[in-house]
Order: sequence, then structure tokens, then C-alpha cells
Amino acid sequence: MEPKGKNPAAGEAAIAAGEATINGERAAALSLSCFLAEHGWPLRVPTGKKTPGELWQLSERYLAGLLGLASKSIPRLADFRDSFDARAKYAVLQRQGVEFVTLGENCYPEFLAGIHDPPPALFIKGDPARLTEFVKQPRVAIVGARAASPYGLDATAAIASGLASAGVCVVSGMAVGIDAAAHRGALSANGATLAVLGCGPDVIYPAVNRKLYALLASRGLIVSEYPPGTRALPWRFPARNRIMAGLSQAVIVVEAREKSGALITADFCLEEGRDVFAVPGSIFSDLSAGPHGLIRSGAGIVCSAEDVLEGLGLEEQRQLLLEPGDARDPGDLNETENKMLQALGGQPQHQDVLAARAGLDGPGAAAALVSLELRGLACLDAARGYRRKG
Amino acid sequence: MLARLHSHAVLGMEACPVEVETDLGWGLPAFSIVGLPDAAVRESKERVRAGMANSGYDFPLRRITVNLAPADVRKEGPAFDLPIALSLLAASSQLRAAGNGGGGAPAAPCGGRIETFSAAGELSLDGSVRSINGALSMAEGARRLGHRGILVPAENAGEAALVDGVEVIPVATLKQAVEFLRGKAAIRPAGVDAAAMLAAGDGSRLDLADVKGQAHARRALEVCAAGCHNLLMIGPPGSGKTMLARRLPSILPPLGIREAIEVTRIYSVAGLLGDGMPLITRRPFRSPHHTISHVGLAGGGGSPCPGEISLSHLGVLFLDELPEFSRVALETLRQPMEDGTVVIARALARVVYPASFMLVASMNPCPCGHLGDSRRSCTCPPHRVAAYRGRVSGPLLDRIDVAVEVPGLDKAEMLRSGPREPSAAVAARVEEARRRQSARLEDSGIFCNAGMDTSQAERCCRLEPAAARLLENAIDRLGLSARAHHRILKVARTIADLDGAAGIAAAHLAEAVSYRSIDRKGWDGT
Repeated sequence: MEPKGKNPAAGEAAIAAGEATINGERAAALSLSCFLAEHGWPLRVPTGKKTPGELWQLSERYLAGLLGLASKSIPRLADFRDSFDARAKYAVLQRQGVEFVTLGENCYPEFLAGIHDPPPALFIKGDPARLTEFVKQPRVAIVGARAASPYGLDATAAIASGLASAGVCVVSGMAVGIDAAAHRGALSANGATLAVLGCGPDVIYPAVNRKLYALLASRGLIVSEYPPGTRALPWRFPARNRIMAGLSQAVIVVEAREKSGALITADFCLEEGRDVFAVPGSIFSDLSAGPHGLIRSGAGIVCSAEDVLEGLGLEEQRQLLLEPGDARDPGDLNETENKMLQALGGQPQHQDVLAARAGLDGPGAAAALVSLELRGLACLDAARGYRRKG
Repeated sequence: MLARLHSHAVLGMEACPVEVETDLGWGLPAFSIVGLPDAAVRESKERVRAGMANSGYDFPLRRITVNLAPADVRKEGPAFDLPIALSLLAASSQLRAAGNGGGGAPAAPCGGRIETFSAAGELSLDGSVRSINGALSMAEGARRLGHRGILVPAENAGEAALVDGVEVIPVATLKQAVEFLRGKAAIRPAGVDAAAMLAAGDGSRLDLADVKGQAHARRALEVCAAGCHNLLMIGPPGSGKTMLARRLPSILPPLGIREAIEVTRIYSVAGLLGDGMPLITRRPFRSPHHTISHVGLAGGGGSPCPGEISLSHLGVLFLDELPEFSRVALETLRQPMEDGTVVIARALARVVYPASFMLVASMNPCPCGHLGDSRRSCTCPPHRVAAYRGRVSGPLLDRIDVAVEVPGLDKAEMLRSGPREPSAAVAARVEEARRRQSARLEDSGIFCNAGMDTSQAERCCRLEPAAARLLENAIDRLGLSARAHHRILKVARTIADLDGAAGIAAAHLAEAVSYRSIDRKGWDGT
């Protein structure tokens, strides 16, 4: 946790320097967010009826009741209200390069404000102006398994880059696997992408996504309902999923096992009346259980970005996508390469199997595969083998 | 009364000369050994006393001082028993030359043999001579010092006789040694015919023909054998990685005489020569367990002794389950892999052991072993896969030229019967490729492609235009590093050698690229 005690010296210095300005409503939202993050339980605040400022003014007993706090925790709420210095906290936020928007402000995403329990404040890493910009675009969330298959990663990248190039903002959660592939796909098309974290916006979790985080901060946007410094804890991720659902018009589930966080996002979407799409997978893979279950219960099938745009009725964006791009030119293939191309399938296969299928000897098969790979017609999955690409 | 006798102490691979001086003085009976002896040498008092008595000699009741000179070299092991006993006998006038009986001059006790022969051996209490470690190095030391010959335990005579230009006298008992030095008994110097032994050396019973399927891995094995490249095999448990590795020596060129003696010397020092095999005739194949310590692997210890990497000198070091080895142990491999020798520096000694080996490593693709296995699905989360692969450090992977994926066999492949290529056919191709390499690298001091440095690689690896284009393309599209580029060139050169081609064609290069999956993006899970 960030130091939340009173630090009048820092706060006053910042105010004197004209850095920190914060009105009562924003101060109340900041206080409420910090209290909720610190309290350590997913509190479902029905903030829809009251603004954060009104909530924070309520009596401790009444507010505790709204938040679902046990009565023994009421003194803690009182202590927190007495000791928390919103101005000092805001000065710290500014030093960390984190901005926040409050429920009720114009720049707070309207879509998110409409859900059952919107977060009182949204903390932003990256250019805050981009939030307004992204909210004007259609937004689609892409979620799925962390232990995704190469097929799932490829499908995600293809769909995300397609959507992004059509002017759709791709929303995801910056986890490894499908989430990261979705962000990277959108970034590769120079499109808009927004990450919703289950920890403070300055906390890089998981740490392997360090590079992606830097890219998102500079070219996309990172948001969270938790103030900076909040650690990633298991219960924060389902809560984060409701924000992903809240920000988006639709969600695409790529690969998910039977009990997966991705399905929680899909449930939130259904609750909030958003569209749910699923990308079909192999019938032999555990990772297809989630999307296939959704399809069975009526989710739209997605095989391309176009399917999503059509499903959402985004005709304008669809036209953008249909503009002719540069088609891949396989060039001249020699005889062995042609044979090998015929032998390649969508599932990765070891090259001994492919060589036998194509009727080539070992060295010839290896050479043909590398040559196809360099032409972009085949690709090698680490430890799995070669498969066809494109 | 003073007597001197030559002997040897083994330090690292070399024998250094030690003089055993014995003085019999007046005073209370005592027996002390000076000159930095270790516990085994100090205990030799008891063995010498009993061995002499049980051989029918008198143990002098005098004040005995034995000095092992030079006094600053640490003396280890029981090999000084025999020289101490002999010098004690000489000092007490029990070692007079035959026919010179009765109160002769002590100055030349046995017709000069004691000055021109050195001796080494462990004594048993009954006076018989037991085998010792390092007899081959000692015989070499004796030749270097210009001795006429050396007395060694009969069991070690074979290995010691591999050294030309020095008489190796096998002795089975203390009495035989005494009789020989007195000139009373003639013992025929031991002789061995190394060439005949090499020729007769039974080949390995393991044959590549036993391996089913795995065409890609077999080919990789052949390429590695031809160019001395290090190999990493990645595959699920039971896919045949170990089986393949064990058959690698069967396709390597046979040991030459000089190589065989070099390997034998290491095994002699380590005391690993078995009974009745004075010469190592096959390339070593060492497969240490993954719990091995870095000292066990690289060699060393309080009194340094060769580690697994030296025991696999000129052969194959097979590390099964590579990521399970301790990080320290793996990192110690780096310097020997570059230099072909390992330097062990300790407070009291600094020794160099040869360690020019081919590394063959195997690992599972992930902790559970089934990533990419068509028969079972993998249960590992991605970060554990990344952590598992990360356990093998980049610098070590950089020294591995060829990495292949060895898939689990499916039922059809397992049940398929039919003729498979035997090792002999592969070995013939490997030998031909080696011949081309040594002809090309004749005056550069190396003998195979894997040993080439950057400038040699650039000189020898001439790419045909199509191959050059392909390489450029591969570097761009596959994200290959500069080091990977260098390794690919060397492997491509070996593949071209196997093909009998002068230049490297695109097909050779493409095959070499296919052996570098560990350099691709995605290997370490990012």
C-alpha cells in the first residue's frame, strides 16, 4: 500500500506549487477508491444512485451498511476518513504520472457508468486524453486462457489487428497468453488498445509483460479501479473483469478451459447486456471447452474481425476492413516445397511426420520447411513442430 | 646408513620425481616419514613393517627416518610403500647385489640397478604388491627423467608398458622386486601391442539400427558426429533421447593410438582402468546423474582428481535432464567447452586436465514433459515452462550448435518393422566428412568444424549466392542472433562436408537453420 497517512507537508507544498488541484467530489472518489483497495474485499458498491461525494458524506454506519462491512470494521472506516488526506494522495499520484477520472465527470466512460456497480474512480496510466478518444470508438474485449495454444494466439492476433485496423478499440487484461496477444495484435496494426488491470496501474503484473506494459503506456492506455501500488491478488481479477465488460460493447472469448476467468467476463457481459462472441477451436483441445460452451448457449461464432463487425452492425468499420490490403505472394515454389506445403496442416506436426507425408528424405524436408517458413507459409511452434500459416 | 631410491608422485596428469631417502640412525627404535605425506603415506609404515617381515626380511630396530624429497610437494596415496620398503632394505644392507655377499661395500648395494630404476607400488601385509593409480603417468615420468626402467605392480604393467623407451618391470611381490634389484632374478620387461589391442577392441554392441523412427534426430546425430558439434535433444519422456545418445560413440571415428593412450592416461590417474584392460579402446561415454556437484563434473577436490568432463575426453559427455543439473555445475562447463582443458586451481596445487568432449544434452520440453506431445496433453502453466527452460543459461545454449526436437513415437512407428540403417554405414559417412575437414583445416591446429573461430569460419564457409540470400532472410524473419548466425555457418559447413560439396548450398544452410529452434522467438516462453 501507498502511505495513506497524513502528510500535510507534501500536500501543502504541492498545492503551493500549483500542481495538485482537487475538488470535493474528486477527493471523495479518491478516498473511497483508496479505502476499497485497502479494505481487501471485493465490495460491490451500488454507486449508480449516489455520486462518490454523496456516499462519502454519509454516516459511517450507513456507509458501512452500503459497502457490506461488518460492524466491527466501522471504527476502521472512521479512522480512515479522519486520517486520509486526498490532496496529499493526489500530489503523490501526479508524481507517479497517474491521473484519475471520477464517476460523474464528463470524461468518465458513459458505458462503464451504466453498469450495476461502476468503480468510483478509474486510475489511468498513459495519456488521459486517449481515454476520451478511445471511448468514442467502438470497443471490443478479447479474453482467453493464459496457457493458450499457438492456434489461439494466432487467431487472437489476427482478429485483434483486424479490429484495430478497422478503428475498433481492443480491450483486454494484459495477462499472458490471449490477453497479451490481443494487445500486441492491436498495437501491430497501430490501433487503439486499452488494458484493464487487477492491480494498481503502476504495478506490472505479470512481470514478463514489462515490454508490453511500456508499449501500452506509450501507445495505448492502462486503466484500473485500484490506486497505484495496489498489489495483484486473486480476488481482484474477477472484479477487474466487470470493468472490462463494462467498457466494451462485446466480448470475444478465444480459448478458455471449463472454469476460466474469461468466462466470468463473458457472464458479466451477459448481465450487462453486451454481445458475446467465441472463436471455435479444435474439438481435441481442453482449451476449446469454454468457447464451445458459449457457442452452444448462443454466442456468435467469430472466424475473423469481419464477423465481429458484422455481428455488432458496425458497417462503417467493416468497409474499412474490406479495403484491399497487400495479399501474400507465395512466389515460385520448387517441387519439394510444393510437396511439403501440401503436407502441412493447421495442427503442428513434427518434421519426421511431415517428411513421411510429403515423401521427402530428412535433410530435404528440413530444407523445404525452413524455406517455406521464410516465405511466411509455414511456422514453427516451439517443441510442437511445423504447421501451415496464412 | 643412507639409501636413495627414485619414485614418482602424480600431480594432475603429470608425474613429478620424488626421491625416497632413508636414513638409519642410532637411538631408540622409531620410524618417521617426513616430506608432506598425507594420511595414506603415513600409514605405509605399518604396511612396510609387516610386508618386510612376512617376506622374510629383517625390519631394522634403529631410528628410521624416511624423507620424501622435494619436501614441498604433497605426497598422496599408497604408491610409496614399495619404494620406502626397498630403500629401507637398501639402507639396512639387505639389498646387496648377488655374488657380493658378506659385508660388502654399502655404496653400490645392488650393481647400480637401484639408481637406474624407479619404483612404485602399494604393499600388502603379506608382502605382495597391489595396483596403484597413475602408473602410465609414472612410466612417462621415468622416461622423461632418463631412467632405464620402472618397477610397477604386475596389474599396472600393461598400461605402463604403453610408454616406449622405458623398461617396465612387473613385480607381484616385494621379494620379486628385491631379487630383481639385486640382479639375482631376471624379469622380462612388460610389452603391449597397442595397435593390435585397438584393432581387436570389440565395438560397441549398441547400434543405431536399434532406434525406431526419429529420422530427424538420427540425422542430427550424424551431423554432430561429423563436425564434433554439441547437441541438445528436446522431447517428451520415453521418446528415445537417451537411446540415441548412447549410440553416438558407435558412429564416431575409432580412437587413434595416440588418442587411446591419452584417454588411458586419464583413466589410469583416476584409477578407473578395469582389470585386464590396459588400454581404453573405445571412445568414452559418460553419463553422470543430474545430482552431480560441480567438483564431480569439472574435477578437483582437496587432492585434485579428474571429473566427468575429463573422463569423457575425446568422447561423449551426456547430460540427461539438463535443466535438473545445478546451475553451478552447468556453468563450470563453459570454460572447458571453449578451451578443451579444465584448470583446477587449489591452495596447494594447480593442475590442468584435458577435457575435449562432445556435449550431448537432453531435456523435456516442459516440467511435466508432455508439451507438444500428441499422446498426452501438457499441464504446465506458461510461466513454469519459461522458468524450466530458463534454468539452462544463455551462455551454455550458445555453445550448443544443434538442437533437435525428438517427438514421442506413435503406435504405427513403434510397431513398424523393416531394415534401419546400421551404425557402420553412418560411421563411414562421418569418417569421410571428417577427412574433408581435416584436409581443409590442416594447418590451423584444429581438426573439426565445431572448433573453428569466427575468422576461420568466414574463410571456410563460402556460401553460394542462393544460400547467402537465404541466410539474410532467415536472420530477418526468425530473429536469429549474431552468435546463432556463426553456429549456423559451421553446422552448414559440416552438412556440406557430409554431402561432399565444396561450397555451402541453400539446402545445406536451410537444414542448418532447422537445427536452431532454441534461437527462435518463443523458445523461452516470451
